[in-house]
Amino acid sequence: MKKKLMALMMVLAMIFSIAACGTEEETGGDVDSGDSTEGQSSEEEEAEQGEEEIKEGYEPTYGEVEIEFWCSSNTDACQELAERYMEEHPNVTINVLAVSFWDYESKLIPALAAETAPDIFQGGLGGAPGRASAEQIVNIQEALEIRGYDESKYLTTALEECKYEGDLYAMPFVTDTRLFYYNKDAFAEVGLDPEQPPKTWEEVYEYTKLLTTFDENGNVERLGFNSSLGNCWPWVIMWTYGAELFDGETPVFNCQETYDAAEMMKQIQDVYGYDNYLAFSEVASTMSYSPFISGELAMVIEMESFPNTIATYNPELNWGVATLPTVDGENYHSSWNGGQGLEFTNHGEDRLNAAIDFGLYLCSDEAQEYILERDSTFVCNLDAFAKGSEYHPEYGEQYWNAMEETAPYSKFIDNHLAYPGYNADIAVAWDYVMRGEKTCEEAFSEAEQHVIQETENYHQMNE
Amino acid sequence: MSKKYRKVVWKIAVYTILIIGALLFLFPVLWMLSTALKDPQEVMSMPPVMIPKAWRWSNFVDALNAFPFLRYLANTLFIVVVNSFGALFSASLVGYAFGRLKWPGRDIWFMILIGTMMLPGIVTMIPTFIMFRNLGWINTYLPLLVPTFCGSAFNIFLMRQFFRTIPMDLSESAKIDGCSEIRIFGQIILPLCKPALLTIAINTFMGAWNDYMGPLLYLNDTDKYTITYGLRAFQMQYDTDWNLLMAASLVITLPTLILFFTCQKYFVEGITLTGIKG
Repeated sequence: MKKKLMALMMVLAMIFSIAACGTEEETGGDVDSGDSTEGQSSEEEEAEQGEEEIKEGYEPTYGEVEIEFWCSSNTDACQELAERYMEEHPNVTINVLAVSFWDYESKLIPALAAETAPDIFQGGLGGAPGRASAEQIVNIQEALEIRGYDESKYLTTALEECKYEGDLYAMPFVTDTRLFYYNKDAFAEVGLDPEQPPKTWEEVYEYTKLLTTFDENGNVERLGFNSSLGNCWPWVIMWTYGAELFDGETPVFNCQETYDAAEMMKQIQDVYGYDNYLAFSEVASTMSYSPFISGELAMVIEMESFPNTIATYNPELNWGVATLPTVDGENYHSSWNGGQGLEFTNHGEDRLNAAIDFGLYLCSDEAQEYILERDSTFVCNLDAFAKGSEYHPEYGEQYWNAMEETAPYSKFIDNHLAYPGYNADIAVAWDYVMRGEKTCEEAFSEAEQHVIQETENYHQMNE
Repeated sequence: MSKKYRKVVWKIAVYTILIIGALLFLFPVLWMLSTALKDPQEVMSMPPVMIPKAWRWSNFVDALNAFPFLRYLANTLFIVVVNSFGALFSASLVGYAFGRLKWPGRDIWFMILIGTMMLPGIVTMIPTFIMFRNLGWINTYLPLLVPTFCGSAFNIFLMRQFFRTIPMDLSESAKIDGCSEIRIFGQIILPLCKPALLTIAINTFMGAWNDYMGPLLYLNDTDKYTITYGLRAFQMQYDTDWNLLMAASLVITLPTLILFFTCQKYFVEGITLTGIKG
């Protein structure tokens, strides 16, 4: 018994000692770029150029300083860029914490509430005004002006998402958008020109009739298009019909354009029926695969990064890409942006200044090009983004043309500080219409009334 | 048809149904194993492939090399062991006081204690976080360990119910023989509570082993992360390495499965004797 007890104690002691002690190799391993010496020297030169570019007329006054940086997107690139920055600025220590994108808000919200948020962190673009109004993040307008920040270098729509009451509270960092992907082989199989993707939703409907195939039991084998599959949300389709969501704080989405959009998607769905869609969609989501990648869906709206996923799971897929169709192919070109900005909290003047300088470095040409090259991410720095086709020619001319055409039209969903969850009401109304349980008028007027009610509740509580 | 023959046919029918039922419930695990052994292209192939063309055992190596597996395992074991001890310590002492001692206001305090079970964790998340921040415990293991020493309402309830099933005569006889209350608790009553103690130990083990939110909120140093956090390394914003995720998940699930099947008898006994059902 004593021997067993001794053995147990020894095992526990070993576990505790491993848990308590950190090893430098492991910590170093996480951030080691593994680049050659030659590569490092050219990177250093580029870093110096980037620094000169953003810091003309500004001299930092802080000495040794240690800052915290939390990120959820492009985390490996951020680690590497922090390493490069620290090499150039030995007085600055940056502790980077990479958090899963899916848990990031769960970690960030309590930290902001308890004032333990890091000096600099990635915050969802569009979230900055809410955090600014709650005084959780710092107004960086003046600090950026002193440093000669050039707003024209960044994607305008992303920049606007970083402002609150006219001042910048964040720096646009990375963004994303949605494109229309189609299966060229499926197009050729049914006699469609693989180089001519649909430009209008009417064409999508006609193509869906051709591309949807059934087995002998009436089950869908291949589905043409469904607005609920892929990475598409009702407001994206609504925008392509000219609908708007809000006029100031007043919801205006209960309109004819929204009805037209929803009815067209319903018409497309009726080619195969809601039950067939549901069975198809349930299997796809349960088994966690993309039906477009497996060849079971001929057309889909997906993220601009989707080619990476295709390359991983089905490199043989013969895909094409285009801008999103619109109501008439001419007007209301649109898509939906998301992405991350860089936001700041105040843990002392030196730390804040060091964090802002590091943030500017992350948004510099050099850093943004590195992110674009490494992760093929849609970066907010326009000069860097313009080099996308140079860094990633493998996506093809069609992809980069579609990106170039989409970028100016792509926009963020409206910020509604009084009721940020309004998009769930729109999605629910949309589902009612798709299921055929309510008419467009019923579903969207109910949703609009609910948004108005929630907005009034918010103002009553905050009066 | 003879009685013996009917009995055999009945048994075959019962076992067939049970086997089909077992396979049905096992299917997600088998699918996990199948995905863990596939290459990325096969994961999304249509129609789905149950048996991979080439069994990629290297996925397990890749999965465990994708994050500091041994460190996270050691961190998790540390938390699990301390938490289990803390839960047993607090639940047995408080449960004893509620179940076997008479003191003024006992039942009111017990009702208040049970009432705390009605509060969802999400409601107390931010106030608790601020409290631990004020104590200077952020980025330490303390917020994950100390609360278990303060008792959980469920565990205390379970122990109290179990203590009440033991005849009071035992305690009274011990008292007549001059035994102190602490000695009655430690040497007479507690050894009779093995099933309930094991149930609490297993529950706490599984809770701490699978805890994701606690480490996510309170730990900011990657060296302190736990094993469930390592699994997130495979889920990116737009993409997931399904084969590696499944491989790592299988490895991480093994200890809880082994523990459950080893202690299954006590676990079921503890649940049934205290009348608590899941």
